[in-house]
Amino acid sequence: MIMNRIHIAFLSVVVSLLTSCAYRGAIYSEYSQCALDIRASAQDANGPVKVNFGYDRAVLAYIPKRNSSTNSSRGEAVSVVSWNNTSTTWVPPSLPSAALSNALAMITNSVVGPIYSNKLVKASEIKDVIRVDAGFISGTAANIATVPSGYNVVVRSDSSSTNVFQVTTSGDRLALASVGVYGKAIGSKNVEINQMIDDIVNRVSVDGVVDGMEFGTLLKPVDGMGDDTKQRLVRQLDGKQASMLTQRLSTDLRDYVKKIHNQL
Amino acid sequence: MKQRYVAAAWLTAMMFAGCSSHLLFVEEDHLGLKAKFQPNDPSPVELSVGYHRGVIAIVPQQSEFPSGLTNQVTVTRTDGTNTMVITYDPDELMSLYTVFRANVGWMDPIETHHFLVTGTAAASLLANEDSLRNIVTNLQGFADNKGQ
Repeated sequence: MIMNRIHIAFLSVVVSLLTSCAYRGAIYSEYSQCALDIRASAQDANGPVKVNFGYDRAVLAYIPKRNSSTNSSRGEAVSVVSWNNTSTTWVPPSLPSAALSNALAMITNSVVGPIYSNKLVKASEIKDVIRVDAGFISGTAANIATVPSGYNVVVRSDSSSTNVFQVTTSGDRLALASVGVYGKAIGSKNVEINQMIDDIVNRVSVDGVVDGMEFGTLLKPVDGMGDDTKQRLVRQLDGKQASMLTQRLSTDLRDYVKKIHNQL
Repeated sequence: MKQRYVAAAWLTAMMFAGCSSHLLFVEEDHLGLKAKFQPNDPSPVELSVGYHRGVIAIVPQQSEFPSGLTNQVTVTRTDGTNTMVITYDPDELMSLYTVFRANVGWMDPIETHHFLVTGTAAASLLANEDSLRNIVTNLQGFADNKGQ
């Protein structure tokens, strides 16, 4: 597989030279792989033995300049945003204990009566095995999606026109675009967590803005997070758009959502 | 693997043609175990377990000829409010917004979602935070999640 990539890269270089490198845009290539890749062919010996185990990825992007008439040292690339988050839990951490609890509950309750009264562990309490979250945004839509949080956006149909295509409220659009869409629809557990996030945001926001003092009060009893981190979070989010808090709770603070929600 | 050859072929063709007006984007993922034995054949000739994904996108610029527009994005500040003015630029790519999400839970149902929007619809959807939120609440994919 690595050889194939080397061949492709080499081919690209040769083609670039043959075409006198008339192409002035960017070419981006990425490849990653983790764990076990066996492939045999000591000059064939009757064909393929290919085994591949765990995660493999390839990206290739051929990105033109906005204006191809400018020379190679000038001219910005066209706009593209792409993301791919893949996570997996090979053996869900709660599975062995869940299996043990369930087995004990079933055995003891059926053989000697309900001594071990631990209720059966629900499937929803067991972690996800594979999660994939990927997307792609290009062109003007990408420019709009990446406007920083807190900025108003005005979109014009052309540079000379005074006709405003659209004026919107400010907010963190990229976070919503990459995290929010379908976020509530995936998995019953996620529905539950997203509901908790909404509850927290509703509690600590006033007119769409985060009340740092209220958020700090909720954070204070939460264990597993240092006081410095709590204070830094409050400073970062105080007075910011509520959507920013939603985004943080959906991503890097996701593990603390239940604990924070317990303080409501 | 086939996809990589296809991508390499596209790349070669586009470079030979001196094409500088299209974006070519190729992505390929794979997660667990692929197999393909053969010699003396103790069974599988191709086997694949768990998650595979492939994307090829070829997106053209909006205009065939350069427009000469240089300031697509300008920032103004009035009364303490930052405003970003984005002008439609013929040199930019056509707008495309697509999201793919999958969730495979242990003993949970497998769920996949795909969402694609192009052109002005993509731009206006992304411009408006409320529109994005409406997508979240109204485009629920499964019956048991409706209304949540």
